This record gives sequence, C-alpha cells and structure tokens, in this order.
Amino acid sequence: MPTSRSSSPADVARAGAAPAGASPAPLLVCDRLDKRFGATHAVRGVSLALAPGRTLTLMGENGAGKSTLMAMIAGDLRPDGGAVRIDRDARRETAVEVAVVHQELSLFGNLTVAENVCIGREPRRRSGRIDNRALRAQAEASLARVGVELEVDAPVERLSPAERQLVEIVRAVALDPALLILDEPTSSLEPSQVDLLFEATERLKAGGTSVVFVSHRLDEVFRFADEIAVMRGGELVASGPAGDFTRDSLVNAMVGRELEQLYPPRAVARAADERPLLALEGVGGHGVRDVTLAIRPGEIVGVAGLEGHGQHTVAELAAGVLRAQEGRVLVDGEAIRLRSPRDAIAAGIAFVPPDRRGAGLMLPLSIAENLTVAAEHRLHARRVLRRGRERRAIVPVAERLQLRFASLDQRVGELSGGNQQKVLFGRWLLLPHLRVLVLDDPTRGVDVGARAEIYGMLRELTQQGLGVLLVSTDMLELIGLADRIHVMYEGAVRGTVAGHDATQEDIMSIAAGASR
Amino acid sequence: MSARSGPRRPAGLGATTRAGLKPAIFVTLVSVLAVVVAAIASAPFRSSTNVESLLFQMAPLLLVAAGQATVILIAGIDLSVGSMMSLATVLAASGSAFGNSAVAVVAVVLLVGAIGGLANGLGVLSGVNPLVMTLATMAVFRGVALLVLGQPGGSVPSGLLTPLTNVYGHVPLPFVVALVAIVLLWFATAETRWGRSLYATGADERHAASAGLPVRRTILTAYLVAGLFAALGGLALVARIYSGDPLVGDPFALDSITAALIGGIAVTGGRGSVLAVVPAVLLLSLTDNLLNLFGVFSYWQYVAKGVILIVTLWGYHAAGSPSGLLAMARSGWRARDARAARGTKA
Repeated sequence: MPTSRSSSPADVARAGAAPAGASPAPLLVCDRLDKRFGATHAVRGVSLALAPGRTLTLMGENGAGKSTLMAMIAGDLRPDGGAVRIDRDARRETAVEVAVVHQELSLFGNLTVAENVCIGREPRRRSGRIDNRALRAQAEASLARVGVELEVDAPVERLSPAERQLVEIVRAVALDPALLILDEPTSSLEPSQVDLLFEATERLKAGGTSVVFVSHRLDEVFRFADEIAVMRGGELVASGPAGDFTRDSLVNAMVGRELEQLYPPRAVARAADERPLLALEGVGGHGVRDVTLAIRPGEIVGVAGLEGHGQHTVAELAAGVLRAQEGRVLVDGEAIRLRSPRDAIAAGIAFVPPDRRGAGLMLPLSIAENLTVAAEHRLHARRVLRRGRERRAIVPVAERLQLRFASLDQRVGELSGGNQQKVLFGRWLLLPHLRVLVLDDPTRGVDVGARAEIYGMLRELTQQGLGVLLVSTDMLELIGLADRIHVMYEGAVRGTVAGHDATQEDIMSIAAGASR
Repeated sequence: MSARSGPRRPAGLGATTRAGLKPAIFVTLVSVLAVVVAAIASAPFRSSTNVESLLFQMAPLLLVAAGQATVILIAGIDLSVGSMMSLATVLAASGSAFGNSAVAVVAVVLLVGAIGGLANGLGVLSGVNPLVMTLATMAVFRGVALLVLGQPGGSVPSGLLTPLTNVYGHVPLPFVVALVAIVLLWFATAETRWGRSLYATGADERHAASAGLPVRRTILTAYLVAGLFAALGGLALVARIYSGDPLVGDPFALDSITAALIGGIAVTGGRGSVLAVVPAVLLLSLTDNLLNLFGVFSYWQYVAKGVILIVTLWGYHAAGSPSGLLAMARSGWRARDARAARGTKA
C-alpha cells in the first residue's frame, strides 16, 4: 500500500490529466474497511484505490453497504477496522478534502439557495457581518459554473426535488474538493440535468478531482465511470476498469445470482376481464391528477417515477392515507370513499409505508405487539388482550414470513432491516379479508437474501388471489415483479409498460417526460 | 411608542433575515393598533405613569424572551430561565456580600447567568433532552435562589437601584437596555456566521454537522445567551420590585416561550426572528395593562394570553408560513411529500 507521499513526477503526469500507462499515486485509498451495526455486518474488509482525476462508480443493490462505505470515506462514520487515506499532495491545494452529495439531501429548507450554497463559508465584512451582496454574487457564480439557473433568494423548501438536488450538487462542486462523492445524485434529475452534472464532474476531473459516483442506472454508470466497483452483502465482489464490464456482468455481480433467481417466476396470466380488486378512476389531489389503474386478483401493478413526481402520493391515495379530491376509488367494483387508513383497512387495503422505522413499526415494542396491532379487535374479544389466542394466530404468520428472531417478545428495533420489513408485512397477513397490499418502496435498505424471501412471499400471496400495488424507486424490482408498470411524470401517469419486457431505458424515458 | 421594532428593511439585509421578520408585521400592526385605540379611548392609558409602568413591565420579558427565542431557533427550549431570573434578583438583593458595589453585583449576576446557561448547554450536548435538562436546572436554580434568600426582601445596593429605576423622559433605563440588547442579539443571529449556524442547526442538526458547521459550539452558545439574557432580565425585574424574590421569575419560563411563539419563532427550530419578540411582548404586556385599566378581574389575563397564542399561531398557519406549534403537525413525512408534489406541479 502506497503510504509514501507522491513524488513530483507523479504531479507532472497528473497535470497532463491523462494518466495513461503508469498510474499516479492514488488520491483515495481504502484499506480493509470494516463496519458493523449491531448484528448487521454492513461493510466487510473493503479495499480500493482511486487515482486523481478518475471516476469510480460504486454499484450494488439497496443494502449492499454502499452508503456506509461512502460515509466512512467522507469521515461521517468511524470504521470499526481498517483506514481511509486521502492524499492531499496528490493534487494541488484544495479548499476541502471531501465533498458529498447525499442521497437524502442535506440542505436547509429554511435558508435560501444562496445561503445554502455558501453555508459555513459566507463572505464577511470587516465587522464580522455577512456581506449579503457578495454572498449572492458568490452563489450566482457557483450556480453558473454548473450551468444551473435558479433564483438565489428563493427558500430551498420552495424548490422542486430536482432543483434541490441541483443546489446540493452546486454546493459540493463549489467547495472544489479533492474528492467528490455523489451518492445517487440523479434520482430526481431529468436527462438534461444529468448532462449538467456530467459536464461539471468532467471539469472537476480535469482539475485533478476524483469522483466516487453511486448510481443504480446502468446507462449513467457506463457514461460516468472510468472504473467500476460492485458491492454485495457488504463485500467488494468485483472491481476494475469500466471497459471490463458489460451490462449483464454488472447486474449479475450486483445481484449475486441471475435475476430470475432473485425474482420468482411470474404467475400464469390472469384473465384480463376479471373484476379488479381495487381500481382508481381519474383519481387526483395532493399534486397528482387523473390516475387510472386497476389491480385484479393475482396481479402486481407497479408505479414508477423519478423522486417527486407523485408516485408516493398515488400509494397514499390508494391506501387512504391521503384523501382523493377527485375521481373514484372502486373496491370489488363498488365505489367507496377512503377517508383514512382505517377505511382502507376495513375495505381490505393495507399499506406498507416506505419509512418503516418512522411510519410503520413501533420499534420499542415486541414482534408480537407489532404483528397484532392491526388485527387487535379481532384477536381480543371484549377488549381484553388474550395472549394464548394471540400466539396461536401469529406463530403461523411468523413461520410463513421466514422471520428470524429470538422470541416473539423480542423488540422489533433489534431485528435486521429485512426482518423488520417482514414484520410490517406480517401485520397484514393476520387480516382475513385482505384484498390489496399497497407497498411503497418495500425493500429500501433490505439485504438481498431477505429481498428474495419477500419477493417469493409476494408471489405466493398473489397466487392466492391477493392484489399488490407496488411503488418503487428500484426499476429492476418493478421490472422483475410487476405485471404492468405505470410511469409517473409531473403528477400524472404518462405511460404504461408491460412488466415482462420493460427495460430501465423504457421506464426512464417516460419518467423523464418524453412523450409516449 | 415602541414600534421602532417594526419590520423596516434596511438595505443589505439577507433574504432569510427579511423573511424572518414577516410574521412580525401582523403582530406589530395589531399591537400598534391596540396602542392607538387605547390611547384614544383611555385617558389613564395615556398617562405618563402608565406608560412608564408598561415599559418597566416589558423590559424583563423582552430580555428573557429574546434569550428563549435564540434557544428555540436551534430547536431547543429553556425552562430554567424563570428560576435564573429569580436567582439574579436575590443575588442583586444580597449586595452587601459583594461590598454593595453595583459593578460587582452586575458582574456576579451575569457570571451566574453564563454559568447556568453553559450548564444547560453542556447537558444538552451530552445527550440530555433540552426539556429534561432545563427542567432539572430550573429546580436547581430555584433551590439555590431560595438558599440565598429564603423569602422576598434583601437590600439592593443603591448604586445599582438608582440607575436601574432611572427614567429618561418616560422611558426607563431597563427598557432601553433591553431594546439595545435585543437589536444586537437579532443582528448576531441574523447577519453573522454564528447566526447562520444557529438557523442551520435548528433546521437539521445532522445536515449542519455534515456541512462542517460548528454545531456543538452553536448549541452551547445558544444556551449561554439564554442564561445571560435571563440574568439581565432578572436585573430588569429588580427595577420593578426593588428587592430580591426567590420565586418572582417563575411565570417568565412559560411567558418567554409564549412571547417567542407569538413572535413567529417556530418551535421546531430554524424559523423566525429574534427581533419579533418586541411586538410580541408589547402585545402581551398591553393585554395585561389594558385589562387592568378596564378593571377586568386579573385571572382573565391568563385566558386572554392563551387565546392570543392560539389565534396568532392559527393565523400564521393560515397565512402559509408554518410557525410555532402548528409546524409540528405539518412536519411529518406526509407534509414533506405533499410539498414535494406541489413543487413539481409548478
């Protein structure tokens, strides 16, 4: 491992920006990084090196350990073992070592665009007072450098998700870092905005900045990457120059098995004239409009879209979390009004929210308590908790879920992400009249093994006649599971593709506003 | 009268500084209107005695509310400020222990305020919930105040009492000091890097840390400011009661929170302007003053304050600038998604 400082010839080579032949001293070295969170071994002995002026694309499924690795490189998280070295000498003096564009944006909604871009580096007058004119000018220059046009005095909370993401990128680029980490920076960007990001990273690279880029979108990965590293289950399973990979080899390395093995075989196609379990007819409100879709028994209907284009709202409208302001909701052919999740549950529609820790589970309570919460009135006649009856009802469910736990009294907070998600599913399996499961990003942060089990369970449930509405940001998941995928753009369904022959590109082009 | 707090816009103020003053416009208009109506309708209200008494009454609440506002801006809360004020009064009334020197008394009071504030800040930094931490120090400060002076009384050094009760025209010195201190604090919170760090920390501590802001120092200094301003508020209180009283500050803990919220400081942090506590305190003090003048039974004052608080916050909510308690109801992930959806529609 090159612990020595880079010599000046390396600097000269680097100045040429074309590190052909002998590679210059690496700017970033990760040496056997290791990190555990309780029972989860998130990152296992990952070593990698990155030369100045190069882009490394880090691939991996949800829960593969990418974000944990990024956090350790950025210095936000201390590794349990191993070390991160960032060699400042490998390039010219720079303002900061590492700048990060987080997947979950880290802007301040209460401050303006200019104030966010310059946070912590506000130009000051001699009195110590912030020089607001210089601040605006500095922010405008930073925006112009990336080619973003925004009103610098607008509060960030009024911006669209895409605009916020751009501001986050502008802020990181303005720091002129030695290492720029982009953690899924394009999840809400349209292709023209991705182009801006691409050009900005090219300019930074020409100046010797290295870029670590995390993304799920295969087309982008090959466009941005000089080198590719793939993580799975916390380990680095493949790495090398981008030219060594093909789309198929990349996907296989990520999933660790052929896609067919992760996603269970499709059910026999149902008759299209069967009466839908749940149908939305021209439903709108809360930023979406005119959503029409139908879920028949045994179907998985997918909803895709870039972040912020209304797909989560569709899930919440279908599950009664939000009230529809227009259109009709039909359950088994009958129009009903969903004014609350309670109404929806009564109609057999259950909702699994995306934020299982915040909105779904009661972490300090036991597995048993979390499983029975939706079915309590049915398990506990006369309002007295009856544990024996409770146990008889939940043990089969826990078995069906392949739930791994010490005891039913174990606190849900102690379970792994995948097992927590299973508990959230299992809650609804206790409802005998369950018709439709509405899932919003059900496998975020869930490891591959548990995902395969959840997918298998979903397929089993649909074979028994259940319908599923699946909203997901993971396009491969939608393609692997859904019978139909409705793609949202600006709050409306802009196109529908058949699940079995859709590609990421098909979905992206609609999600980015291309007419179809 | 005291509408100099109004939301004027000196050239060069930051965009967020100006936005923070917006909620105060409404409260300022209402309180100024109330002053005008009362001045026309009531001769006793116009009297110089009443004006002086109103301003004397405002000074302590102004100071303590400004400190409270600073802590609420970082999404904290300080319940101990009331006890700190009491402690300041009993220390001032123990002037003989400090050689009856006004300077020494003021120095000791401010030092104790700073220590108390730092203790709160350190506790919060060590991971204790602000509500719990300041609840504990509230009890501690009250106990210390009672140990220093078991019942109301003591003697305030005349070197301190004379300037404290001095009146320029009809404007008492504590009121002038309070206004100057608030303007300075407002400036520091709105137009300096420390202030920007305050708003960023209040909006999201983790984001602030990952942006490289000195989050811990910011939290510590916010509680320090609250302690100092509470101690100052205690001195302003001495100007009204001419003595020490180990329990006199108690109501100010909650009154200071009320004033900050009425001024449009969001209880969830990061929103509002310290300057806005001026019209808010004016409104609250006017309520007391007018109800007294019109001979309304004094217990109704509490009812009136509660109604004003809820009506004001409801008004902020309706005006689309989520502030105060109502921001809590709106800050869930549902509200975020709804806002995101609105963003794309535009």
